[in-house]
Amino acid sequence: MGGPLVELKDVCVTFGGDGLFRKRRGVEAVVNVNWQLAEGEILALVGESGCGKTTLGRVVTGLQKPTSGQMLYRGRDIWAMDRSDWREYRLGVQIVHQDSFAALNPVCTILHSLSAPLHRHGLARSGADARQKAAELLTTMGLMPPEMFLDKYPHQLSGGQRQRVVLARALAVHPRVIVADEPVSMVDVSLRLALLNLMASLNEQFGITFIYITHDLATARYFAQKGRIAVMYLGQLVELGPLGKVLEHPRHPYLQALLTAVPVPDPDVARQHQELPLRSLDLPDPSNAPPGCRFHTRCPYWEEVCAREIPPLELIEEGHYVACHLVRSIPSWHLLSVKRPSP
Amino acid sequence: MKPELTSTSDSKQDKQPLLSVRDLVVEYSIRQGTLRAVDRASLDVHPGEVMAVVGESGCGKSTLAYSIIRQVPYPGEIKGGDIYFDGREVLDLDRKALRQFRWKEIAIIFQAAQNTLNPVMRIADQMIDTVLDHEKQSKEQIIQKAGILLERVRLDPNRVLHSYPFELSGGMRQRVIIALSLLLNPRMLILDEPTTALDVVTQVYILDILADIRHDLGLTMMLLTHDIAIVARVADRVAVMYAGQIVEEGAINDIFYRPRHPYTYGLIHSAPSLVGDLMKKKPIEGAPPNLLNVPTGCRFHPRCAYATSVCQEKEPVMEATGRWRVACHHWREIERGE
Amino acid sequence: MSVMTTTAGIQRFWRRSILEPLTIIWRNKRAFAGFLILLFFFLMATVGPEVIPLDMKSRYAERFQPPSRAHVLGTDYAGRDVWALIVHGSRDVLFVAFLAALFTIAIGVTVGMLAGLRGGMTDTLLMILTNAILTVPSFPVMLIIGSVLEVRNAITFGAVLSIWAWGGLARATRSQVLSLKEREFIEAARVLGLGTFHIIFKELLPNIMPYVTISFLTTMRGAITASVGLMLLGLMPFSAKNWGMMMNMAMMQSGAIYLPYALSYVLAPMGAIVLLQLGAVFFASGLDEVLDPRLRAT
Repeated sequence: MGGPLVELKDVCVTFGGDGLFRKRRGVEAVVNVNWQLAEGEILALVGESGCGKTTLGRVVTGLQKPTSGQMLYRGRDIWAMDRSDWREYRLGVQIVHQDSFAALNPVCTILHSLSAPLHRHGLARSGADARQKAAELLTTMGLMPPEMFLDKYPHQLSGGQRQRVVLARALAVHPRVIVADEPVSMVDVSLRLALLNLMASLNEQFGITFIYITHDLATARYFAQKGRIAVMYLGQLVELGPLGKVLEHPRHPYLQALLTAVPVPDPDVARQHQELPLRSLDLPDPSNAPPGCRFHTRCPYWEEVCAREIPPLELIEEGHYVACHLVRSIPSWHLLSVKRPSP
Repeated sequence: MKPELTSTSDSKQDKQPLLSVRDLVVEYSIRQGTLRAVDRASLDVHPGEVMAVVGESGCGKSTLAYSIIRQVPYPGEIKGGDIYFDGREVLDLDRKALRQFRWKEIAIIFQAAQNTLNPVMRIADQMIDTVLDHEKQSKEQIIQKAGILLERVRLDPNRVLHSYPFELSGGMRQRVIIALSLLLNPRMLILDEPTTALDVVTQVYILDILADIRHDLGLTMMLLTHDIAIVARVADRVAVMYAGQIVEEGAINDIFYRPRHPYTYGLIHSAPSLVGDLMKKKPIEGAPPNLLNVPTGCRFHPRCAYATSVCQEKEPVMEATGRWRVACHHWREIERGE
Repeated sequence: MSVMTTTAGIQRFWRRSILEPLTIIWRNKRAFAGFLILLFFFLMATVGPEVIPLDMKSRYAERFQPPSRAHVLGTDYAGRDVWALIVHGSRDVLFVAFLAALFTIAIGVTVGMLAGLRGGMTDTLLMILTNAILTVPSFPVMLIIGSVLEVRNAITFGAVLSIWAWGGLARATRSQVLSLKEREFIEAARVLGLGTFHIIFKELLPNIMPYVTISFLTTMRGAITASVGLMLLGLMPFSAKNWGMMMNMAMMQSGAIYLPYALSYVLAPMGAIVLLQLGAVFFASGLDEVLDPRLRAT
């Protein structure tokens, strides 16, 4: 089967625009996004809050209809599919939310939450069969013995356990793509790595494609080590490429600033005072976004053309795309790393 | 005369600590039983230092901080121990003295403080209110001081003073809260997760502002967080808490480059980072314990790779060398092995 | 829903649906007391009339007698046993109240859910209707409807009582649906392809249930009061064993309030209503715990 699994073509999402107290123009949450996702890959979608990454995730899962543009699954527009294609899509793309407590029905037991999709889609033949399949799913997620969890309610589990249940539920319908929106940010720090490792093993074992949405570049680097990274700013996709290369040699000024800002758990590195290469520190109002390249108001390299035209996403080197008019004239930049004195 | 916490072989520390907590015990009486949120915690913070208290949710760091200003939420109660601020026993202060103590000597910035601003009052009015609650000053004086502080946190007073909180962004509101807490010239600032809910760029900005304030005003700070990375940037000393107990405490370089408690080691090596070898990252097994039912002996033993039978039976005693201490049966092996 | 065929399945069903709720109620002493009171009235309404004979023959010589061994609560203005009257009257009163509550819940929840889920024009129109219902006072409307319509049986009576009473419930249901609609578990259900029907009945409704059930009890109480009131005003077919009628006769028509030894006759129907309401309130406090697992002690 050729062609990408998931494709976004010129997707734009605009919210509001004609409320009584809102500006007529509305908020352009996502502007002209184009990308493709291959089967079995891991893509980290990063950006600060308000950049549109969650909205984009919702477009991929079909919860948000694009105002213009298309969301294609296996080459077909999901908003114009026939019933059998839609069914394949519906089961094929699943979501894992940030808040595991809100993602589970509080009055249903874990068993109930897991067996509902099994019954609905004919994946279990009876109540007993569903119970067994649910137990298997929990075991795959490392929640053992499963009997201890099946009859409990969500509030009786810890955050990390709940998130595993949510993952198990998404897995129940044998998806091809899982969109994980900040899956570890509400989980205790010492448990995050284990959860990310679990997700990585699902990718290796079952070939499930992951879209990992986060604002935390450090976890993105860990989870998508062998995958790609897409960086968004105020609704625009500004850089896209293999994660290792992009993080080592970021070409877009926004990503460079972001990497300077991310705190590093190493005192010697962290204390090297690096000036943030930004003209202004505050994010512009999304409903009144700057014209042209939305980053130009904060960009230290900006020129006139940046305020006039939106830069297109161009191919700079193998697989590495950047949306910047001045990408070739910006000085090369890489993350400083200091060699620690060995003990 | 309170016992010394660490052996004072370090001559730089002849100054008395500004804040001294000794064997603090705080318990919550809930329906299911008694929960000991803080178990015999002891801590010293010297003037001008930034002490970071690191631990995950439920480790007791917030409870510890609120105990210092005696604002432990119901049904929590301080059941034992002492808290000395500048030599005075905080737990003995009467109501009037306590009011003076809070905000004038120590100010606290709560978690997600951006949301604690009164949404229907202008910033200027909130500042005036805060000061008038504690001292008599004229409005002009207060506004003038507020203006200076707002500039210190890199905000434009003309724009901010007349605004309502909803007109400002999260980062701006956080900066307003910092300015508000400095209005009465406190000697110490306690910050509970000051940078959660803020994006990375604003985070760095706030941390820089805090560093400046500390440098210019000689402020002492206690920073509570679960994020090791921001600790690396601003802290002088780090105290690591687990399940209500302080398990390791020391200078920043000691903690990061020579951690001796397995939990500290685990925290540092399980934190994903932008630099460094990803292959060396290892998760910590298991999960934090239910405080109603803590493991016997060392509380960390069920998750510890170095645990032996003694760890299950006996609680480790705090051992100290210089200005560093740890509570672990096997810390020497860990220091040698790693 | 598949049938539980294995013994483990039956065991689990017994534990979840019968034993657990009963244990929870039992642990909460107030709720248990309420449960017993309601059980008492339930038995009174269903089994009572079969067990306790009612002699409707007037014996004026025995009227207004104080409580005695022969007549536990004394006699009424026509010498009839008050206790028997109460027992027999309970059936009608409770049945009407039950029906009224049922209709009210059905209309209120449906309106609230439709408005909350559909939004837009449907929501606006339904809310206009609901607001009208809420603004115009219900009792006068019921009076008018009662006097215009022929109320002969319990079902019509129940319908009359419910027609103007569903406004508050509709509004509350709508608010709950609006807030639940955007919750992540509903989104997850949509992404899992569970379908609108499932979402409404298996995800939304169980979360609204606590409110609905407690509303049911409150509405029953209101219906009893309203029906008694309507009876009191003579708008419903006269029946001496109806509690409302008993109160009417006792207070206004037979002069019983002037006779101290007829106290039991005056107080009995009132006492029955108060006790029933109390039982409902107490029971409701425990019901919350049964329906919402988060509130349980474990």
